[in-house]
Amino acid sequence: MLQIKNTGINFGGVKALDNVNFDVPYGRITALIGPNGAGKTTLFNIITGFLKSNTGEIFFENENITNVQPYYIFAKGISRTFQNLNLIPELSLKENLLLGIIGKDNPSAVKSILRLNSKYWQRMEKKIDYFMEITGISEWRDRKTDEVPYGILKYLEIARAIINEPKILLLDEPAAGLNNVEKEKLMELLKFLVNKNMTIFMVEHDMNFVSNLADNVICLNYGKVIANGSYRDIRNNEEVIKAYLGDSDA
Amino acid sequence: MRKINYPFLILVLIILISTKFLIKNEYYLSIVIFGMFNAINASCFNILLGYTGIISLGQAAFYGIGAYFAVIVAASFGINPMLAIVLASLFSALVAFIIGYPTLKLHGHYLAMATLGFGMIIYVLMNEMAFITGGPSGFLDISKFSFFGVSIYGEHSFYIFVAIVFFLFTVLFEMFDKSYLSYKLKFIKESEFASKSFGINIFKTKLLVFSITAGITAFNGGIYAYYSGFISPVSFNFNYSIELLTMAIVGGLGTVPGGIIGAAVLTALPEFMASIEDYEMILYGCFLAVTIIFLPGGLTGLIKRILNKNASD
Amino acid sequence: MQFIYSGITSGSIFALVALGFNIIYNTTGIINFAQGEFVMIGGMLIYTLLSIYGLPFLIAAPLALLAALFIGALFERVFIKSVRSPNEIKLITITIAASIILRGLGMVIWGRNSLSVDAYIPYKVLELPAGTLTSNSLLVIIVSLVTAFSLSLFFKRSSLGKAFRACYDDKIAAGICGVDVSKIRMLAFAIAALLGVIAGIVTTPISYVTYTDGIMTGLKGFAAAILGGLGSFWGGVAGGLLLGIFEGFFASVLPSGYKDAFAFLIILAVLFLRPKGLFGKKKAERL
Repeated sequence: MLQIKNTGINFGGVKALDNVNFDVPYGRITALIGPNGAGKTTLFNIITGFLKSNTGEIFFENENITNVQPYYIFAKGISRTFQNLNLIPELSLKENLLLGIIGKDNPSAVKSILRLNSKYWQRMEKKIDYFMEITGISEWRDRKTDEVPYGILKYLEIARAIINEPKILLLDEPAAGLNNVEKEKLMELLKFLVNKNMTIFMVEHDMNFVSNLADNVICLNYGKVIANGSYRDIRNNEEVIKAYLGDSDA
Repeated sequence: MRKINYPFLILVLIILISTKFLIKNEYYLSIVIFGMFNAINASCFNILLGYTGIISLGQAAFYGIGAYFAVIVAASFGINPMLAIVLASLFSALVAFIIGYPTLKLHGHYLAMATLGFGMIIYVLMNEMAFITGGPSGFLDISKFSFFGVSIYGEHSFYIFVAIVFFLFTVLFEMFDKSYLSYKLKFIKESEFASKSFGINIFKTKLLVFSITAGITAFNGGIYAYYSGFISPVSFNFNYSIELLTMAIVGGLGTVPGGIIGAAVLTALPEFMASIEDYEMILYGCFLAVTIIFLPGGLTGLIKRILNKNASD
Repeated sequence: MQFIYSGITSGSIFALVALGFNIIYNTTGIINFAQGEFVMIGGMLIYTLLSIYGLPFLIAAPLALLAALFIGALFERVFIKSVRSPNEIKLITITIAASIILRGLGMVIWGRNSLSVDAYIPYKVLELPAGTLTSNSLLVIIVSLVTAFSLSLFFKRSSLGKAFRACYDDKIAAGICGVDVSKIRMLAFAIAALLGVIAGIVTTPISYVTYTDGIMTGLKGFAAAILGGLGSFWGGVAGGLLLGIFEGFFASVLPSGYKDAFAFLIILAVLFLRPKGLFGKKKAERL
């Protein structure tokens, strides 16, 4: 579904990504792992159009989306979350979810100001309620983001990313900062989404999380792909073990 | 969609109507009229800065373009004032579109400086192209104002006209604020990063907002020119842009009452300061600094907090 | 060709202002809209010390410079440090507020009139190829160059200067290495104020000083800074001199009112066509 071909990028002489090649299969959960600084978030940024790669191409459903504008990437059905959440503080959870919808349909500005499309907004309200339910944040609906626990905000971030029903969901460290109970719930949610035919591609550090969810694992180190396969294969892969132990921050 | 704040609109209406009956003195009426002009301009500045995150330090130029274009075109071609004002508004929106195209790709202080540069260039043109604009001594060939045949002259009738325009603008602004559009803009202001990832074409949106506010400001400028009977470049210089910035921030960025309250306070201020007029500039700067440091929500934020406190007691 | 000499003279002032912008920008990332006001204050200070208190120049000048350091530090503490949860908009607008306040203070303390002082050195006119240079102008040029050189030595050699450069490269890393980022920021403003005051002192005998001078001076200094490349030390100097010369040239062929627009055209041209200016450093292109 998503194909990364020969992608590379330099930052002032340092090859942050070097000849990265892999495919993200449809309808599965793929995890991107690797030690800190391996280039995982850089790759995400290139895929979603925030960084220009120096070499290589990226294809989504056979369309070349290399170096295309982020809003176009979104329109194609690629949605992402961020490590530092990027939610809007003074707004309620419900209003933050609204932001996820706005770019998708682009409802007419004039009609909205003159309040002529109330039916559309009623439908959107229902949509917001639904996605709040499946992410389990309904009771915090009208609270502002600074009044709400961090775990709930992470779910909100995901809700916002899926409310426009993307084809593929890119998650940047979804489990970070969550306690075990919250991680369990998140796993349930992701499995639920995959059952609905969503493809998931996530950067993650929590190996327990990855082992429970990922059908496919890709490991990066120093900008290069050093392993690509099922979790079982990766776990015993020498290169991967060296990469992590060598960079161990125990 | 959020609920429209009808009490606020009714309050504005009541204040506008009662002012007309309570104030007979033409001088004080003129201050309120100027206050309304400033309020519309400051609100436009607020839409740019408080909603979309665009610092337009040359905003005064659009006010001036509206004023000059309207009266020059009316004088040269003999068209009626209202039509001239509409044309001026369209012209200003076009200028904003052209200026905005390269400028709005910039960010932060680069954007601020670029808009400042444009504002200054237009100011210089107003001063130097004296054969069109009358130069530093201003433009006097301003006819009497009429609205669809109704002649409007003098403080009392102008007050009614400007108050109606102001109220309509405020209603529209309130409807905009409670629509999804304000969310879209604030999303851009808060995080261009995230808003880009959620399908928003930031550049196109900013360009539209910039052009439309320029058009509204110019429309305002046209009416101002006819009310004043005389315009000169000095009313449209960098200082006025800074005044608008101060009004928007002190009043409260990102809110509907912000521009109105800010304009009200800062237009009325010189009247109370007549005896210590020399300190006006210092006070201005202090208001701005104090608001930035201690009251990020401006006076509107302060009022909201007070009202909320009372509600929960 | 006279415009070259007058251009270099005014350009030297722009260079000093540009240096002030660059130092603050390099250490804090802030564009100080009040930079021009420091120049105005410099002129006002020297006027007060020389004409009102009647001090000899050799005492007045150092006093003014000392005052400059104090004013700069105070400026940073009052306006910059006090902004909690700073973001770009707040920082831009707080320096705008500061410039308004300084202008207002200038008007209240020194009045609306233009003030001047007598020349610091005996008046002479130098005959040069295709033009003349007065002793006052020569003083401006020499002082500016000496200041620029001394400053660059300070940054290269002294340990304090190295701390500055560390802050520029990476604030967080500098903090971890024990550099007091907050103090460096205060010092940056103090030095910027010093540069402004020096410019104000040397320019007042030639072109008087008025409380509104800061706006144009600041804007032109900023134009010089981005022409040379925002953040580049010698770029700012080069930008200042180039701006002065170009402006002088245009003043000699166009009506004088257009002269001021020139600096703004430069700002626009640089921002649209070559944002990093002539000698700008390219920091890693991120998002």
